[in-house]
Amino acid sequence: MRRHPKCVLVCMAVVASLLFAAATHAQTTAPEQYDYDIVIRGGRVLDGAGNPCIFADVAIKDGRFVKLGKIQGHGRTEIDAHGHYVSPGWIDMMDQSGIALPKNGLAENKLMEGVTTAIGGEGGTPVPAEQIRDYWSSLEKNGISLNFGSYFSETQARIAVLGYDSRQPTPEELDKMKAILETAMQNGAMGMTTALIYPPSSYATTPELIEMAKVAAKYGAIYASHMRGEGKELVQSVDELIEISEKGGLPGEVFHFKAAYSPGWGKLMQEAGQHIDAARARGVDVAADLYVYTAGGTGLEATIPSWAHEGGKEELLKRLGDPEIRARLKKEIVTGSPGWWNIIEASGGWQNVILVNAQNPDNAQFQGRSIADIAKELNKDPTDTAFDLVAQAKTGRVLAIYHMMSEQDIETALKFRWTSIGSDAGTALMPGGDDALGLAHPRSYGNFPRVIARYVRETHTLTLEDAIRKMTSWPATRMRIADRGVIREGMWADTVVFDYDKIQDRSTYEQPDVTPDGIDFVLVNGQVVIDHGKHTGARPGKILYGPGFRK
Amino acid sequence: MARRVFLTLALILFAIPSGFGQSDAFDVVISGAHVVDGSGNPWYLADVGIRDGLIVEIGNLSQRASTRVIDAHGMVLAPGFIDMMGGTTLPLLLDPVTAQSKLRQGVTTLMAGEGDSMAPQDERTIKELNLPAGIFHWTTLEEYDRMLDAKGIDISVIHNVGATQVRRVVIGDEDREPTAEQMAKMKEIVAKAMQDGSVGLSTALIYPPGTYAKTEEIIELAKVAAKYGGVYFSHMRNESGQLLEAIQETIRIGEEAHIPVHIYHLKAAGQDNWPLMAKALLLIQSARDRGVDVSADIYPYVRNGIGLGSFIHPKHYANGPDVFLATLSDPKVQADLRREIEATTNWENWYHHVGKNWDNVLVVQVPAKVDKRYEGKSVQEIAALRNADVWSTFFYLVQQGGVDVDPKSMNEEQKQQALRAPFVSIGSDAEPMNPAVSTYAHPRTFGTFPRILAKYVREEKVISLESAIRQMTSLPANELKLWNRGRIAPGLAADLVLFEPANVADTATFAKPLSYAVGMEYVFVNGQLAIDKGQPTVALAGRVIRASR
Repeated sequence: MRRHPKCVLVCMAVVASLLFAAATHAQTTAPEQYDYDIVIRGGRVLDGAGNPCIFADVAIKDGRFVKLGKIQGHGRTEIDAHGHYVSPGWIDMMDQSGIALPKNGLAENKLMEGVTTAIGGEGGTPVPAEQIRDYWSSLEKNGISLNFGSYFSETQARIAVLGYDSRQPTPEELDKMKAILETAMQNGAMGMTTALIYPPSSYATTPELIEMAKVAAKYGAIYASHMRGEGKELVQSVDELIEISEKGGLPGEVFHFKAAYSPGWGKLMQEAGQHIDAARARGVDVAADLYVYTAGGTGLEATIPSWAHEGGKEELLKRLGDPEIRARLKKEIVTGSPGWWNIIEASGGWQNVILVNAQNPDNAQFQGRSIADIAKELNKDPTDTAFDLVAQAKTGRVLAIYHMMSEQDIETALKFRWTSIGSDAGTALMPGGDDALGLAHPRSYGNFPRVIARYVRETHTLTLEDAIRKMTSWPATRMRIADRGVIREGMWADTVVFDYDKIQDRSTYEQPDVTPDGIDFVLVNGQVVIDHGKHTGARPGKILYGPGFRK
Repeated sequence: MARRVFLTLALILFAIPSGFGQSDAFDVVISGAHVVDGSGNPWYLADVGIRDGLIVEIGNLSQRASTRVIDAHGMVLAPGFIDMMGGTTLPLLLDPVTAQSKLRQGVTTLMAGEGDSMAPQDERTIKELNLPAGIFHWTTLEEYDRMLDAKGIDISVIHNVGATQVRRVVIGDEDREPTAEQMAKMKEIVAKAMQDGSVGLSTALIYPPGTYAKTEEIIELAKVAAKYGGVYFSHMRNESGQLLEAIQETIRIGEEAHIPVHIYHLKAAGQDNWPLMAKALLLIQSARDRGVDVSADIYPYVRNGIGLGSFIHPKHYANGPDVFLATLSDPKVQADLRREIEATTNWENWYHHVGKNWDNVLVVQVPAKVDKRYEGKSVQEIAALRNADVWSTFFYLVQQGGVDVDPKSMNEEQKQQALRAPFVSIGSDAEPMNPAVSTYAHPRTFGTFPRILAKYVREEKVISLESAIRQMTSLPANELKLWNRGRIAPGLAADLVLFEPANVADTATFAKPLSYAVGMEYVFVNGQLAIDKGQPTVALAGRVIRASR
């Protein structure tokens, strides 16, 4: 354990009195008497680059860091950070806030866990390619508390041209898809994504993805993917991503890197990592992000083989209602189905699949329980139970948590130098609410503090400097965000002031919506958004445009 | 000869017209490099655009106009290296070619000063520099820096003010405590140097008269440096048996003066003391954990370099070296000193550190009056040449003054341990040197930085390339508060090195030290090529960096 020279209570009291003094002072003194907007004093400044902390004051003016070192002048606001760490703001490499941010720009759950920049868009932008600028404008107009950028999904282009058909595009169709992607790039998307376990994304072949990736490459953008398989087929899936990256000529990013297959724990992750190392060694810029929980969350429909989704939700429901087809699907849960990732097998059975949002008041009573458990109560076959829950949804997508990863593999993945941190969680629609997808998973509130609390302080998997690097400068580098991710003069002043001894995620699977401890101040673009752990209501966030953006 | 090998790598260079005089055309685009940006992050592929001395853009710049394009596919682009122990800048003033010893290692910025410094000077101290008559004269750092500016230099430099230098100007060479007036005068001089842009205060507590400074005296001076946001750098009082105590003294100075402290060439010298390195690193880490800013640098060699005079207890130099050395011919004095060296260990006893073996003490530099053949030979070998007793040979050599030796005092393991510590940066502990007019040097003069990349990264895989680059760039930049250097990012000074990681190497050895490193194909200093396809350009684009206050 690290010891700090000063009692935290005293420290906090000093902070409070300083802030109070500054506030009262500000009313009677002309602003020009202050040299800076904010001075963060006496903290241990982690530069984000992986260097040991610098003991320095940090001065902020007009949204940016303007001076580091011994600061003689005064700030309108003074923050005493003695004994605390001052980090660049944390960047969420896999955010799901695209739909929620227009409804709740305050993004409390994100800010309170130190996230100042979120990269959304696993499923693409919430609007079609040609409307992306309007989407940005409306976010800017309403105001957002964090910085936000989004990928565009290859699947969006596919659906626009091919609908939900399971087939390859003709050359003419592919050209149309490319044109859509070009529009998205020029409108500021940060890159191209796929989510290849979800139909109709899963219908895209590797050559199709390479052709599309070349378009993103032309704009200097990145390809990121929720890969085709994250279980038994993890290594082949990684190989596909490497191939797309190599042949497409652009960096490739593995979303939520995991080995979701209990028989492969301890082996698959190592092997997949070796494949990425080898690709990097020959100059293919591939990397990965991960969340630090052993359970994943997604729609319960992922338990249904892919072919049954062709044509969209109505078709799916028809198939589930057809006894013959249902029997075949149930059989395939055991035997497997080409092109479908058997998430039940990966989880080690229905007892590890937990219903979290039934999207139907009648089934809400089952939330928080395993499918096996629910089946037992209903005296039904568990597969039928899951299928029925999907079919009975009234308001949206039925969501579940799948316990399919191992702690050992998380630690292995964190130690790869090229991994960064993403939450796979979105903005909650209100403080203390589930994330906007309605998926209750502790990662929505605790992912980033958990990296430090668990994997730095408790297990010593990472050094603090390295953990911060993975949450700041490395994701900024990956996303080509040149003016964030490190604390340096001239950079945008996104910063997190935290107490190393106290930082703690408190969200759990049972209580997923609890905010963490130990994060005292969060600043975005030089404005205080979290003040003593409370959201100030400030909305200083900016839209982050991708490299293809044309003004 | 080695250079020819690199030319066969046949880098494709081509220039494209700078368009129609658009103002946004780059001076240079470095295309397709593996960018190792100075952070500990893995490389990424990008083009880097340079204009007006700065890195201005990073990304896909293939469609953009540039006066020159360097195809860097397969090469690593890193920030220029920062030498935490660059000796002195005087050679740069006297002979610009000396910068080549640094540039060819990829060093684009050096810090000068180690107890001694180029400022302040007085009539007596400046005379001892033996400068060409009437050309150079100065007393303050401001005056000295202006001379460097006027002369033009090939790499950037930053100075600290040496406590020994201040002491010599105010007190002289004697073992005396300063009077209150002298103390006030010393503080005033330090303050002036800090105002002139000194990055901090340095000491070298094994060299008289620096050794005479008590901890309290140093703390008083360090407080002055601290007031200006400076750093305290120290060649500590002991680097062997009392290594931990010496680190504790350094930490105490940091704590009491409220100043970041940096330990020069961290080492555990002497076979018996090798296990102390691990303890030293823990001691530093624990100080950091409780909030004291402590860092260190190392050089990647197991032999250090010192004056042969250091093999005699420093107390004998209390009345100035000349007085003492005059007594060395006396057999009685010799006998007493020998007994002290052989039998006592309560001081920095280098004879013990080398395993009481004169063959481990390599003479590398002798003054003009001494037989040049002695250079490159051990004291034992010189004794044989002279057909004399080894002890009388030793005393003879010491008496000549200015004999430098490289004792084999360290082991590889401690180098590896130190390199793995996140707060350890790299310093050569060598001044810029022109090999054509030199006779001998410690090989670190020419090889330090490439040796890290060749030996400790490529061959022994002690640290990753990214980590090594971090320890040579952003880490020392943080320590020197050079926020606009040491990283590859838009808006920062374009100090850059471009090399093939498979080929970069040091060639200087203890037997043949006067040999440039190879593999630094392109070196940019402030946006201008100082090394172009392995060849010097003498662009003189370096700057004297004044620490901002």
